[in-house]
Amino acid sequence: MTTIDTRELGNRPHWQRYMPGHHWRSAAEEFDACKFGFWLFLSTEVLLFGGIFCAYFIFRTLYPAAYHEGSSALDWRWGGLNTIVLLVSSYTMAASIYCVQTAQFSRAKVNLIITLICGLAFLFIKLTFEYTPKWSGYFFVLDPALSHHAGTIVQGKTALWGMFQFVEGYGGKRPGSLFDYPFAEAAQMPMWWSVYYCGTAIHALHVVIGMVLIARVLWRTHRGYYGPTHYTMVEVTGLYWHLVDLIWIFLFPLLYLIH
Amino acid sequence: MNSPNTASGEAFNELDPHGAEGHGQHASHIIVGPLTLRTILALLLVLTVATVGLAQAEMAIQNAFHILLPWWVNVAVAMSIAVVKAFLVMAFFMQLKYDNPINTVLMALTFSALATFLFFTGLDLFSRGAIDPIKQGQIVQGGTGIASSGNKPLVVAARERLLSRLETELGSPEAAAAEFARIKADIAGHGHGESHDTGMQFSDENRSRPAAGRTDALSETVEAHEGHGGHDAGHSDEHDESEHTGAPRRENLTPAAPARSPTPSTGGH
Amino acid sequence: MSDHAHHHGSYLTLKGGFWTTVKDWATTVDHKKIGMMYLFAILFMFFIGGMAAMAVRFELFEPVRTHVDAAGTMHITGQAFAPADAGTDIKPGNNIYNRLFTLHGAIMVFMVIVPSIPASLGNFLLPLMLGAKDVAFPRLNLLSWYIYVTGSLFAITAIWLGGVDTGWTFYTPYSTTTDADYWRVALMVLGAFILGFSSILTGLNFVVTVHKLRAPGMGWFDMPLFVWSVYAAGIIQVLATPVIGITLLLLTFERVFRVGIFDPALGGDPVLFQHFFWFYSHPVVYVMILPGMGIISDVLAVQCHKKIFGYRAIAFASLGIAGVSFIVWGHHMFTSMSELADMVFSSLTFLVAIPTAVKVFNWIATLYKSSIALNAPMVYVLIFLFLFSIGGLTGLPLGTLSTDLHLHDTYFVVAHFHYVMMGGTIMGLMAGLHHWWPKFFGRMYNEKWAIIGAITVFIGFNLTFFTQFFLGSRGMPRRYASYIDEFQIWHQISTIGAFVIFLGFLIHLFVFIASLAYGRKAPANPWGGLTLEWVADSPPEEHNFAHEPLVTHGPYDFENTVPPHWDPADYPIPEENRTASRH
Repeated sequence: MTTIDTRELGNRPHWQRYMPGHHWRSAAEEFDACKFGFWLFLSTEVLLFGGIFCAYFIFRTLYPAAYHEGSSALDWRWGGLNTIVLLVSSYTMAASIYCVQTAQFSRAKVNLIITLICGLAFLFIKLTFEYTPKWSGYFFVLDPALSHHAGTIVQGKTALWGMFQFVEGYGGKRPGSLFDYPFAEAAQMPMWWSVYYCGTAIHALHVVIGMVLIARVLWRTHRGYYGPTHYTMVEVTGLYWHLVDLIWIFLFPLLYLIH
Repeated sequence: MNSPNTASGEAFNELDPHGAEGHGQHASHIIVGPLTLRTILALLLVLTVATVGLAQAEMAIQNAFHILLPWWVNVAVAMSIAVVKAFLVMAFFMQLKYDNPINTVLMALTFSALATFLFFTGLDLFSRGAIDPIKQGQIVQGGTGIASSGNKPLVVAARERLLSRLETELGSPEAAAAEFARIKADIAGHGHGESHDTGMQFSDENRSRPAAGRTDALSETVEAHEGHGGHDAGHSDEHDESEHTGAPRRENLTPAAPARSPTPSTGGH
Repeated sequence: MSDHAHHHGSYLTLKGGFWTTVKDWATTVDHKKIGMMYLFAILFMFFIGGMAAMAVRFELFEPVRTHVDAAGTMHITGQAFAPADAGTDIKPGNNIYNRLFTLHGAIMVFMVIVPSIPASLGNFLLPLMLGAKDVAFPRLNLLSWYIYVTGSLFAITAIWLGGVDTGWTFYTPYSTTTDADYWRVALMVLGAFILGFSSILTGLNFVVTVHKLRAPGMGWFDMPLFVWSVYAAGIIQVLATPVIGITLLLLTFERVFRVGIFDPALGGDPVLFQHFFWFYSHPVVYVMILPGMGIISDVLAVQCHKKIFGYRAIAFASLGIAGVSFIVWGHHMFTSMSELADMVFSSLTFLVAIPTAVKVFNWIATLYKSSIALNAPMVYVLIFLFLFSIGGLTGLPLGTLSTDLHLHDTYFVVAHFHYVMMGGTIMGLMAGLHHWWPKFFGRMYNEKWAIIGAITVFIGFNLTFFTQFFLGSRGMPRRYASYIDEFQIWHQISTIGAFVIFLGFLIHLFVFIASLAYGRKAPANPWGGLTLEWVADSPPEEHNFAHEPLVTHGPYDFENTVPPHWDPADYPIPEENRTASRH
């Protein structure tokens, strides 16, 4: 064991002082192993969503009319916008890894912040423009779709200080026993909404978890924890965020485009 | 088999990635530059536009030329583009292209496990009655209902709830039915209310692709629920190619009744 | 190396007073301590699950009989869990019975057999066998123990609140419509979901450890077979467990919100639930048995002092079993699937027999002309071979469509999987526990009483479960609290057998306690093994090895290698056998 002059090291940023765990032979091996371990974790995530995809696959094949009807009730424009939002965030995430690798820390932070904002935007669009009207019949006043329901907007029935307006008969597109949409034609409509909500809600949960991880990485980048020789957590968080994107890349056409 | 000499010679390095020489020498720091990343982002965005555009184009073609494209065209186009996008994300953003091949092998294993899952589950659920018709579809389409839905299928219960509320508000069943039809036409976003005069005659006549067999129409489910449960049991299993291609239904596609809009109803035109 | 031990102290050395020790263990990232924490948690759950099994057998000692006496009063006898004069309603007893077998099944599967060998023995031994200082992610390892405890607490809470009567499989619509059990089912299902995370993290950790932390000189085919089998099990854990995760999550949604994916009342498909469930639960059967097989390979080779026959065949058979395990799940559902799927799954099921038979034949071939040390681990190996072969062979009629239609959901199935799971995994665990006991605690156990215990368990096991083959083939269905009078003799033998098993485990408990209290101090290598864990001290020091070991020989190269720390005085086999087996 060589002695380390801690006084000199103490002034350096954290990433330069990083030592691998005692059971590793080198930091590079630790990094490799962490990445491999995280890929193993990602494969469990893929298979977790595999259950949703399986339910979708089975029920879509058995009940195409219900899936056709359900898919028509979704607006591809919100789905498409969310796809773009996630793709851009995936890019900024990858770019922030590049910036950390090349010691451009303020750029890295900007990229991470953009990623976080994109995550928030995704959740905002999902909740405000997609879940809320379908679930409850309340439309956000800025929702362009609202203008097409002039005849059925119930005047005087608003929520959150007029931010949301109620459209008669639109809500109730809920899963299972909560289903209350009166104009459904196919008998299996509640099951379409079950798969839709289970799939997108579990995905949204992953977005939230990803954002927590990104916020942590942002904070620690700010504190100088990561740098060209030590950025395992940045890399791993990036992998997680790309997986979230990857799942959405499949959910989007399955739910919005296949009819 | 377990050679005692593994600690020396050529074979050692291959078998053991952590040999005495060369640890710490891993080229594990992959740096993917901004140019690559931007190119990939641009490609992904183009593909997103393409997949949406092709889905729209498919419907536009159907409506313009009154033809019915086979069901798999839509699926194949959307899914192949998704696979290409996923491939790009994994290869470049997730760096699999440059990374230790073990991670790629792992992903291949994962996707083959997923494929196995889908394949064998489908093998069972799509072959009910393929050999012995007595085994086909014991599931009542739309469900037998639960206590909170008045032991009616959920779709029927939801419709009846609204009708009875409208009846209390408007005073007569006729007025309720008319209001029901009006709301239905309005939220469909097109105002083509003619085909839903009574609001009660649900039909899939105007669909370009009904595809699912008779039991998917609500009226039959109601009938099944009212005591003919036995006879509808198997119908969902009749979905074979002839239904997906829609050939028997082709005459139903009339240009005058675009009940299914090319764009989703939430957005209108 | 033993001089170094004096400087460092073993991992069991106390760091201070009571609370310091508690804190030390509760926050440890040492794989050995975590392995031991797992061992005791699992043994505790094994005790609870075993008690439930005893209660089940107790109820089945007599069928429920009703008769009306001369005064016209109805009498009920044979109900262990409800007063005999509870009136005409025999349901209370049935309810308790249903909860008991569910409790037994759920605890034994999710909390005992799945984690038993990998999480306890695997955690302790894997890094030692690889010559590593720890598993790849030590903190994750500790986390997975806490997740295990949390999941178990969920399940115990559900039991505390009155239990669940769905059976361990949580089939819909039982699990979605038993309104009386509303929150208990959700709790139990969430508990199993949480336990899945623990299993995933353990498997993930082991796979990375095997890939990245082998000692210098240790190639893939220099790994002990126990490592191979834990590796194969780890791959299954990673690839199969997430599917039970989503299944149980959807089931919880189904339970709480009635989403209707699996519930036929809402249009869902209960058979889809079975597919989801068995896509995990069949592969996980091999998570249960593979590490047991690994223990057998290792213990057998060391206790016979012979190079294992067909090392690569056994290693590849482990991977082969892992691969095949993903394409045979339908054989649990022959009566609910389409005929086409039935036929495909039935044909594929027989593939399992190939790698399994490869292993069994290789073990038998290893026994041939070897110097068998007939001590407790070896007795358990022989018990394993006997019981597992019966379990495996009775799987064939269950995998055959025509016979399965008769045997489905009968005691034949119950007997079959107990022969495989208990006769395989638990006997493997007992073999391993005795074999590595000196390594774990640095104490020898009493050989004579351990063998007596093993034989008692063996006799009790066969009394309990062999009779159930007869019951099943004659039509006794599983999960019933009562039966026709003709079956009573078989059930009574079975119940007596259960008490004999209990006695056997009690003997083991005393042997282990006596070993910890009065046992002779164990040498570093009591059996003359060649794998790296025998290089370490007994019990190992905190960082396992004083120097990073260099592997220069195969794990079972008994002919060319002198075992590390080899002391002929410790050798359990007679001198003449010893010389005959080596140069």
